[in-house]
Amino acid sequence: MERLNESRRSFGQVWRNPGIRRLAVVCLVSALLLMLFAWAFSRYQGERLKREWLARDEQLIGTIAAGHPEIASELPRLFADNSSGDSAIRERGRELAARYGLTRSVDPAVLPIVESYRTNLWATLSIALGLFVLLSAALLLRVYDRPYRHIRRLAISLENSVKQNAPMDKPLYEDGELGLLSHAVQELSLRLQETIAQLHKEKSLLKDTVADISHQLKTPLASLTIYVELLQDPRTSQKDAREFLDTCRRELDRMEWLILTLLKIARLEAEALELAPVKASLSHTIETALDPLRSMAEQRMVELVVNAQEELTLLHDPRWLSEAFTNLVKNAIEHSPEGGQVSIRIERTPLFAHISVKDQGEGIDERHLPHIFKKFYQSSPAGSGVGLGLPLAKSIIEKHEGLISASSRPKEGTSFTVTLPLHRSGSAGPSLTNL
Amino acid sequence: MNIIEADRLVKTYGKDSTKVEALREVSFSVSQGEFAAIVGSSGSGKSTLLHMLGGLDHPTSGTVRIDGEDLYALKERERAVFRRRKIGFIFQSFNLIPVLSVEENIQLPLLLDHRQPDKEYIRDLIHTLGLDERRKHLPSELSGGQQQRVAIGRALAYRPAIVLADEPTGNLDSANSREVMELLKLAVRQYHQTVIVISHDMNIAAEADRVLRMQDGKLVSDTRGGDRA
Repeated sequence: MERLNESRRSFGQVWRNPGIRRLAVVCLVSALLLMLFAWAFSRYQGERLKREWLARDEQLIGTIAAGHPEIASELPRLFADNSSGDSAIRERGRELAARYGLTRSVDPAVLPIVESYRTNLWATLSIALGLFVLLSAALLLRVYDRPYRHIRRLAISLENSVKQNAPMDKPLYEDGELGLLSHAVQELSLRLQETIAQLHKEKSLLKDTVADISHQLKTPLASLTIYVELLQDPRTSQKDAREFLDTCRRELDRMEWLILTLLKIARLEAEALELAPVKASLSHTIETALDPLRSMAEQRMVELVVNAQEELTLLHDPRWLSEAFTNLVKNAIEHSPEGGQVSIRIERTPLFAHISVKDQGEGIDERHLPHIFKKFYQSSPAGSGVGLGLPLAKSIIEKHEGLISASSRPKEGTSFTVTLPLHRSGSAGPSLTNL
Repeated sequence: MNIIEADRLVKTYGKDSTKVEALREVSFSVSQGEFAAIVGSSGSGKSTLLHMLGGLDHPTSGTVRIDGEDLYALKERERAVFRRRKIGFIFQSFNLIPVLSVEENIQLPLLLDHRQPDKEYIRDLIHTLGLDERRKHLPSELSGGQQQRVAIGRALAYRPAIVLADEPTGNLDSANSREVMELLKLAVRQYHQTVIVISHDMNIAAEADRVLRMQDGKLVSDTRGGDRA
């Protein structure tokens, strides 16, 4: 399972967040707007100041020219001259101006240009900057609010998923932290759903197992009851009694096997049983599987042939896996004609071990094939069992993370192929539903 | 639960006289954990269909819902993230990054999402794929079968809900093909994934739980069965 990186986030990671990118855009646009405003406003104010300044100068020139016509031709030069004049002259001017109260501390109201300029500047700047801040704030709020909206949506769908076991709707698919959170929440809700489904499955499994056991035991129990009644009857002869007791013994053996096998399957399916996998030889395990079957094969004149290409070891539980193969081979022997052959072949590929068990029997009809691994399913009367051997084999092999499949050709026989992964990690896979 | 729902998918290429109808109103759904194969001759529209399911190409009309999400209602950027997290792709030509090692190629989807791969999971994955001794090798140093196993590893790295495989065995011999199919089958079971495989090879398709047959841009049959009880 992947992990979120907990170390310090790099700039790149922060930048991947759409929220951060939007924030940056808003800031950039605001800065640009502000610069544009500053440029336009200073131009406009400069123009205004120039006009008013000129108007005042014109007024002064006019007034002075009217009083002293002899210096009229000199005046424009004086006003237009920008070069800083003699400091002595400036000092005199200041003294003269001070006499009329025109010093730096003068009330600006005395100078109409400054007064109007100041009022105007204050009004324009405060309105413009105020509007600007409001606008930026609105944009920023939108950016700021977006994650909250998404979190709210996540919260709602998480609540739905918890309360109604509904899948998460409308998750967020984007880069960045919020997207990762959304993904994690989605995984959580998925896991919740799968766990609940698993629990339901286990519950129905338990129900089925109980039903199976009681159903399968009803018939032998009924016959046992009858036999016991007969045995209690004093009229039953000694010879009959012995026969009845033998039948009782057989029924009891059958019941014992049935209960044990059903319990094994139930434990395997309910994951209540832990395998003890060790690295062991596969062919050795298969030999172990064949041992209890040799006498049965001899009785039925069926030859058992093991064909192993090479010695291969793989992680498995020899006890359980041999039980699976015992059941597969037993099934093959039961379906073999007299003098037939059951061949067991071990092959290896880079990733898997393939073990095939092949008989020369009648074959399984195609319509039965999808069902043969179901409990109590019997495709033909040839089998002696009750239809539990193959389901048990399948459960064991799946517990080994393997696959089992069957193929069949009418009149030529059936072939079961078991595929086991060679490179299995010792631990159980990181399944979503591991409780 | 239907994890994939395709509704009246239509895809046409070209206009007027050069118009090609690659898909004509294809509708079907796949439930979670299913292993489905799409078969058909070349030009039957099966690759186009897979591209539509994976959000790689826009349909002319119709919708694709993955896990309830309308794939083509998402924005392009969202769809890219969706693909990365939900869908694993396996291609005929492997499409591995030649300058990255086996390990890096497998971790790529995680690295793209700025996630730190879980070392243990990746090690397990590489082990299961039988690539322990090749983890530092470049794709060019591997056989075709091994390269496809790397591609499978990459598709499984994010443990996506769906694995889409476009002729995954097209460039492999029969032994390697069988191996690839078995790996995919195991993945479905182990990680509750849904797999759709495209193939023109009936033997490959026969391994699937369900076979959808395409012809001239239409679904002509849908068979379930197989040996799974």
